[in-house]
Amino acid sequence: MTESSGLPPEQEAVRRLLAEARHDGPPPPEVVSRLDDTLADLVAERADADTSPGRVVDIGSRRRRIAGIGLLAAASVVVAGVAIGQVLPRGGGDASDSSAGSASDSSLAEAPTSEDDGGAESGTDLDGGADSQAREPQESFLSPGLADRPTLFSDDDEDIIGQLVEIRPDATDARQRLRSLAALRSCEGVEPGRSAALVAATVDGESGLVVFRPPVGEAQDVELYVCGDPEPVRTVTLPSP
Amino acid sequence: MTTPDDHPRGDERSDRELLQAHVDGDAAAFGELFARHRDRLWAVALRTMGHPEDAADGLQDGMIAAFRRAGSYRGDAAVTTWLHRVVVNACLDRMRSAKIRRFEALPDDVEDRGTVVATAVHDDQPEAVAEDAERRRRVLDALATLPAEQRAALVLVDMEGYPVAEVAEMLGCAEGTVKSRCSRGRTKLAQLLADLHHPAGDPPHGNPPPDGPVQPSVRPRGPPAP
Repeated sequence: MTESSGLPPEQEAVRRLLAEARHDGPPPPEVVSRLDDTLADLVAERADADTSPGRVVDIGSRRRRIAGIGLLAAASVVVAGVAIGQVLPRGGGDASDSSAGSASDSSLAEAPTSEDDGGAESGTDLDGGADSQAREPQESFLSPGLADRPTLFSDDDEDIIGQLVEIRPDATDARQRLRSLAALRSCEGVEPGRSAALVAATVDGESGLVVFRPPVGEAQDVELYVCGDPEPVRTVTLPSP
Repeated sequence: MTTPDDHPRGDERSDRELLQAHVDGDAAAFGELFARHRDRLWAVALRTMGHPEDAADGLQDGMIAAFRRAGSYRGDAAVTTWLHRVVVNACLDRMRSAKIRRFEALPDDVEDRGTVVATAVHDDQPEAVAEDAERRRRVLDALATLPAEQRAALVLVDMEGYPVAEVAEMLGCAEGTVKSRCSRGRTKLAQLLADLHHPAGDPPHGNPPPDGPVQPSVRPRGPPAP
């Protein structure tokens, strides 16, 4: 009670009233039970993650491998696009289309192609050159731009929850997931784990990631990372979607 | 604040040891650690959120965050301080997100065990019991009118008795900020609860209205002025 000394009488009286109104005792049994259940879920979740085959390889190497596969696949799409563009006469949209389509079905790498414009549009409008259309995605994949990223600040207490709720759907959007894979590749030191959903963002003015943890009960943890720092710069708890 | 963090009893593991064991994969360690501080964390969540259901949500959020973020604990502060910080932040986040319902009066202290404990000493004096309960209700209603940050500071400093420096760590702000929040909060409460801390001998003015702001202790008689 270091605050009690030297307070004006009115404030001291309030302090005393507050002290008398403090709560003693354990949480109600139903709350204890709920906490126990949640904790059991968390322990089980961690045990599953620890024993799953994916954990044989450490997360970092897994992340690098995924990113590598993505990069390789992206390069394949580029090569295929260039080759088709050169070999097929104009109007051969069907062939190109199906080629791109099959690539997108079988690989994580095509997502960057739809980063800035609709995938359907880029797939159907072949007139004008497959080269440029194929190259742009690769460039954006190799160096994910900051322009379209949400901008977040770790010390923003007023708006951050609203911003996170707003971008949360992006975390499950297929295009965004693939874009985030690219961001993760260039975000050394951040290892969000397998079960997290990611959104690339500008955090505190630097390249970063927003990591949406799987909801547990009615809550969902969200972590903000600045690339290069393995620890989150901010963690926020949102109500589950 | 003596905690097992500082002085583990017998072969009991310290808070730091439990947290480290959790990070290292000990499945039971976090539960043991959280249970050790659960009652006090609940008290803080309950008084900060103002409603048992919201407090349960906030405490659960905090527990989940602490479980997952244990690896980020750097050891600068006591584990209990860190736990309080995580839980209080979870509660504040919930309040900021405006997902909780608007504050309602506490439900007759049904789940407020503190009231049971506090009034037990007046078992043979029903009037004193009722008076205690009413005063507590007034204080909590008034507390609920404060901004979340002021409320959290007062709960931690005045209700729970944590030193200002420790509360500053819990809230992630400067000591001066904690003092300022407490001072402003107390000033507002002093206005709302003026009739409760009048000098001894000041006669009671009857029951306050059940809802709404606290009225002046002396009310004008007769019809309202035109």
